[in-house]
Amino acid sequence: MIDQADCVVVFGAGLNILTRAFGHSLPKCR
Amino acid sequence: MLEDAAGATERRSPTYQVLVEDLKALGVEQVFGLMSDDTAVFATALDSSGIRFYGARATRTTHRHGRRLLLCHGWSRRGGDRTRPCHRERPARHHLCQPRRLARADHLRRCRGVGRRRQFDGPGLQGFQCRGRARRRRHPHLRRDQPRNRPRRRWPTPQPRRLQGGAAALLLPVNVQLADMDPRQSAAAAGAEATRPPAPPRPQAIEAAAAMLRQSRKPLIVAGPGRGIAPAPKAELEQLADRIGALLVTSARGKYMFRGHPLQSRDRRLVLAFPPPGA
Repeated sequence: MIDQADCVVVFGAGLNILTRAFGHSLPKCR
Repeated sequence: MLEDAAGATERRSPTYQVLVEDLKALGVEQVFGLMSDDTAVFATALDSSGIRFYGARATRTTHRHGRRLLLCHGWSRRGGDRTRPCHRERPARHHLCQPRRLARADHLRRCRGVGRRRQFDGPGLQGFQCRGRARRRRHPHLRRDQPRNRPRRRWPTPQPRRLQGGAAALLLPVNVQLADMDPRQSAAAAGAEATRPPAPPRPQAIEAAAAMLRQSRKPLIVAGPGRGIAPAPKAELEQLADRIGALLVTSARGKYMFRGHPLQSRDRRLVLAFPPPGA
């Protein structure tokens, strides 16, 4: 369901080296 | 988190954050530990503070847990740095407090050719218990002359070794890590208390985000506890998600933020804190 999102709002979070997925599950920006 | 208690402003932080500030104040630059769901929050907090975290993937048997601790121990002794291996996944066991005893057992197993030898990136165990073996190889008659029931050499207790700057095992349950405490109780973190207040958001940014949310049909909210910026308000975000029907996802440090909420995503790909099998 994450990759079907059309809008992502981020609050107090970030991706670092320990998040090895590197946010690939998030939809790509166009 | 700021709270007013007894008329005075009391600053409360999670225990893992206070522990990270303690390690930072002590000058620790590297931390070795097992990477699992239970240590993900602490490891990401270490990484955010600038302390390098060397994570090992958790294995199944407690014997290998001890071996990984030994690898960290050897790395610390070789490099001369004040490293702190951390281990949290299992309750305290006897062999975790006696790394030399476990090294001896591992060395004997290798000599007998029992078991499967594994390859690690870190230093091996050769520096732990190989002096006695080499001495017996050079002087085999010494073993015959020794009485069978001679008293065994007693290794020093782990506590003085810890005080000398060696390895230490840290066993923290998840509820202890997540519990709030007053960091002023920790003397080492007294100098690290200076935190800047979160900057207020710009009206243009709020308007842009609101416009994007109005146009979206499948919104997604990614939330985390925040570090150096404003933490995500849990109750307000849940109300927003209920109103617009957004899916709730957290970062690794905030993975328990929306526990039990019906809109929380069960997809763990975003909060994956260690590489998946085969990666």
